[in-house]
Amino acid sequence: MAGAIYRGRSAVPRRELELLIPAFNEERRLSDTLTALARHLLRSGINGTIRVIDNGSSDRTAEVVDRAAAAGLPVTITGCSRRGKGAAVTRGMLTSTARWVGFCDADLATPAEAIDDALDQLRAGQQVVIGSRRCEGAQLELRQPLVRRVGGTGFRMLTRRYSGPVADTQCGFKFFEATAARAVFADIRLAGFAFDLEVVARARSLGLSMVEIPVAWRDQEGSTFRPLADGRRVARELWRLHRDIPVPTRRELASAR
Amino acid sequence: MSGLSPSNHPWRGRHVVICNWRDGGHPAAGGAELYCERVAAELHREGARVTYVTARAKGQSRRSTTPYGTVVRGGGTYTVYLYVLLWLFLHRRTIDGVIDSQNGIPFFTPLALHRRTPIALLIHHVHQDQFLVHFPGPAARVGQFLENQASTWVYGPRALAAVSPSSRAEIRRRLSLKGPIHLAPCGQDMPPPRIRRPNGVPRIVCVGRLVTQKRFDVLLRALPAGVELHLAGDGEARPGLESLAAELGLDHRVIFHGRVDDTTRDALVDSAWLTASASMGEGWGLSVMESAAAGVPAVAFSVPGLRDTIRPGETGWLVDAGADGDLAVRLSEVLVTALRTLADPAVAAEYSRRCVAWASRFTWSATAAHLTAVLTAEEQRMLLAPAERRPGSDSATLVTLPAAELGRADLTRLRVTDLLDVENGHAALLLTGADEQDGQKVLERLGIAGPDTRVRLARHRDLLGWQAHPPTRAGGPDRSIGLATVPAIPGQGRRIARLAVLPLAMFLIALAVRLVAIGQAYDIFVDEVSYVGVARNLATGGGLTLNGGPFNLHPPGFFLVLAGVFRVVGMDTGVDALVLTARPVAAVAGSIGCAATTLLLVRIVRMPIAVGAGLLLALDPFVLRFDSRVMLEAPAMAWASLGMVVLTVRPRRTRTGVAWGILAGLFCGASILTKEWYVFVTAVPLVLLLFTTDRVQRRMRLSALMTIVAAYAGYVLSMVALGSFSPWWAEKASGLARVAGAVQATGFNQPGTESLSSRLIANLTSFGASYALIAVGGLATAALVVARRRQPWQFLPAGGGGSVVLALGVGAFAFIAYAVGFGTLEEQMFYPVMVTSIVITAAGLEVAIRSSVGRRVALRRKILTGFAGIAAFVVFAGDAGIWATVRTYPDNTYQELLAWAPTGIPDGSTVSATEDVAQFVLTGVRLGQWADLPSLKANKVDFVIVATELADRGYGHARVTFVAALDDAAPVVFTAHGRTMGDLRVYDVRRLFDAKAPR
Repeated sequence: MAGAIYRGRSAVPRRELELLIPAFNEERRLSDTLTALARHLLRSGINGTIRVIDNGSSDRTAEVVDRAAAAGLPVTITGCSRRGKGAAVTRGMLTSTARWVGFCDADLATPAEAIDDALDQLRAGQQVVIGSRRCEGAQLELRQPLVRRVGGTGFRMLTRRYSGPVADTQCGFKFFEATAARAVFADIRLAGFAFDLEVVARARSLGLSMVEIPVAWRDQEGSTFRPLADGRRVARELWRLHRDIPVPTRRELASAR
Repeated sequence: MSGLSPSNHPWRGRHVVICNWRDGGHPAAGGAELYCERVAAELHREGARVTYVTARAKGQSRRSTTPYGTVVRGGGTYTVYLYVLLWLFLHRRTIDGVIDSQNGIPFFTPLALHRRTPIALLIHHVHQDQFLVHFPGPAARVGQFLENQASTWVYGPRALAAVSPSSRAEIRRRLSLKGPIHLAPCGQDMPPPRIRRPNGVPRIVCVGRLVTQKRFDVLLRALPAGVELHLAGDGEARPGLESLAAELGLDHRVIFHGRVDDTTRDALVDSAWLTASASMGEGWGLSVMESAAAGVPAVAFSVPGLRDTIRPGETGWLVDAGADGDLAVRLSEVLVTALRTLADPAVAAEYSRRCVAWASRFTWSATAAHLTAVLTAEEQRMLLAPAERRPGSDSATLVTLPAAELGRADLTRLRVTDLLDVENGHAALLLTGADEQDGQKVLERLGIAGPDTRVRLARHRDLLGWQAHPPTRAGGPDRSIGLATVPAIPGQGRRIARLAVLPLAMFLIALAVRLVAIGQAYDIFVDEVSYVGVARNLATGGGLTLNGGPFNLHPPGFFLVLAGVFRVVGMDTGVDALVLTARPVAAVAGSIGCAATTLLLVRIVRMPIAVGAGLLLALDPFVLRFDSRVMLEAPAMAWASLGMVVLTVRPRRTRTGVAWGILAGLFCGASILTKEWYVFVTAVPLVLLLFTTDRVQRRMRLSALMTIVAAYAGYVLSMVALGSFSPWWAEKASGLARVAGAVQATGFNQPGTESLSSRLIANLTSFGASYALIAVGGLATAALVVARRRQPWQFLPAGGGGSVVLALGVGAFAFIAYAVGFGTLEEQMFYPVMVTSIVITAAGLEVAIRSSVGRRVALRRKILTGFAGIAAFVVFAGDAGIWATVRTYPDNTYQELLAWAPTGIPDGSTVSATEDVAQFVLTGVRLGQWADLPSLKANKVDFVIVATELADRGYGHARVTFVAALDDAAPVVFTAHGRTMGDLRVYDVRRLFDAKAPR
């Protein structure tokens, strides 16, 4: 499939891990996140770098990264003018040269320690590692409001055909083996809410080996859910998903197993 | 320092309205008024027509003319919003662009303006919190609502302008407006250069009003030992600060000057080492910028506004404001560092130089250029909505490269809102809304992605200090930055070569091709006989008549021309000779049409395509058949083509536009007065072309249309004046009924005659290429309609020539499609379609070649040009062969008949001319059109003239059975063969009836 296009470039993975952080106007929160992640990489002895994907920020997100880099943290920045977290992550994934690539949120909703678990799975040969707030062992550190929980349940019911056995597609904490990442992200179409779901669906239809790992999750203030406006947006994204992405056929799934 | 030289500013001669709350004469005028007036002055200087609409304070006049344009005043503090809306609504037709300066509440100008009028919403800073300070709760909520949600609804995707990157971030954070936000920082007036004499003792000087939010208390606490602080200015905070100074024991080092005159202030500033600010946020660090203009560096907290105006390490120092701890302590530390650095006179001089250089980059003309760039971008966006390559994003990409490389590129292909700068052989480009990947693509498109080119995401400090925008195509090269930024305008010689020599050459070639053997190549056609008859009657003063009756089938345009020619060259008595005299006139008209079409194409496609299309038209056998005969097609299409050429002129001013429009209208009117249904290639395209957003072009096209209407009305009125209105109207009504298809009296759709398809098949050998071209032209029209919807910018250069051609194509093909489907369809209707097809195929080829994008551009272009080249060669070869055959083997049966008749047919014989022509050209005999044996007998006919080709096809009076009966019974005394008539035979039927009579 599309992974073939990038075969030539994946020959020499330099770094072990590249951690992508999509950021849109995050000058306030990003500094702490970068420090925490970099400190963790150093402490765990991971040969890794962090790359912030600036998703068209109007504030000084890039300057925050510059300052962190000047302070000696292994951080770089790349721009992405296409809107949406999905576009930013895709940009990072397709331009990465590391052996493993992962992305997490700029607000550090998942603690940095979860990187170790993800890397363990990747080292064990898994191609895709998905952070999950719903599989066994996960804990939600802050209970979500009712509207959100109802919406989440509905979303999961609607998208079961794409997500399959994956319990939590929406967690912004996913890691990939480099070639798997390129195969999955070469064709990504959605950039918004359903982006995570599309990643899972494509990974499944490519037959990649995939595992869910439990992560702790702290709901950050500032991430609000407006039932009407967001509901409409989700519906539109789901429609595009339905139109653009083939549901994994039974045979593909069988060969994947 | 002008961004664009006055002669070519894209808004020159256009009407720009600036809406602002107040003007400089208002008692409460402030920074926003200064900003708007300076921008107005710059626009006025560049040649734009500026109107400044604002509130009226007591004592101000309703309207005044100022050095920067007209000021229109009305309404008070709150009613000004209604007044501005009303004024804009009443003048919306004259407005080309609006700068809507928002002072908390915008003017909601989109409500009053045309949907496509470009608007730049200028936001100096966000007022959400100010509302709470100045108004009671509910009123403040209304204000907040108006500034935020209501603005979002009303302005939608329209563009905004902010004064600094910080205030842009603030707008994004606090307001939900969706449009792109461009930067238009304030200008800075530079004081005349003075010699600075820094004080012996380290001295900090601050000029400005002493108000609480400037937080001079922090500065007092941070004042390092042994440093003087001079405060020039007054304000509410002064008593508090004085007592604080006393309390801190600083009263001998902190000097309050109060309000001072300009000389004192300048002397004070010149003695400063440094200026400092403890403010926690400003829209634009005005006081810092003023100090920088005087060469004084600054220290301030890294807060919105100030961190944009101070470039740390170059023009001052920034103190981190975010971290915990005592602000004053940190400010103090940095002040000490700064003063220590500046203690070295060389370093201080260097700082001073950089400050002046930095401040001098902020000119008001740059500010005005930024705002007009926003307006131009909006105008383009409205025109090219689906063309957005870079999605809305506040990020930007900085490209640095050697200036020489930038000099090679066609910078008109950048966006107008991009920025560029050239200094000491280094060039920089700021691609707004682009990330690095977009930037790389832009460079590849421009062909300047060299090894010395650096591309990186822009930081806030990269976003300011720009002065020039890329030139627009209409604007021409930008002399101020010394770059050949527009593809070099071809020299006068090359322009003349393109616009005069090539069409002239095409005219001569076409004329030569048409004139060779023009008398013998095509047989005399019945319409020719009628037309020269009408022209002869006109020339001899017989009026618009034919065979004794009025002739109103066609308007008199071409007949008048022919009559004039006849008057000049004299008239032969024989109709056949007259036809041969008149034919070169049609050939000249056809050649003019060829030349005009080439000229039209030269305007919009590359030279080889234009030449190829012109040659194709010169040689096309279908076109040649009409151009070599006295038909109305060639002159009508020639006039129409000339009209279309004039429509591609791009005038800058309305008056010249109207003049060109009238000229185009005269040409198009001549076309319609030659043959009426050429409205479909003149007036109908013009109606389509009226839907343009360019006001001057709309005026031009409207005047062309009005001229056409006037010309035709003149024709109708002259008919009325001549008293022949009712026969004229009867003729026109029946003509209309035939065109509409209500009456099928002639043509292929008429029941009982041969169908279009059988005729097409019969003619395939001679006109195959022409038919194929028409088919290709139809497809090209459809494809271009789609392309114009998707990529309208491709149609805009050369005065919208692409649109003109496309409208022509739509008109021609809509007409022929209707004619084929429902109306009366005659072969000559394909003539304008044929010409249009060649033009539109050329345009389509150009668009296809130009719009090849993607990975295999070169390959696609090669395939396209190769295919087009081969096709053109095949068609040329075929056409040339057909031409050679036609011109070598004569088709002149009537001339042979006329040569034979005086000896073969005795005077006074009765002749039945069953075809159409002989009755008009034979003289000295009794003529009739009897076409069956009994009537031949009854009328005692001696000779019968039959054209086998006509009989086979069902034209004329003779039918195949009649011809067969004659073949059986009567001898053929004359026969001539030609392509048009087949065998033209004369049967001697005298013996037929003599022999039969006795039985």
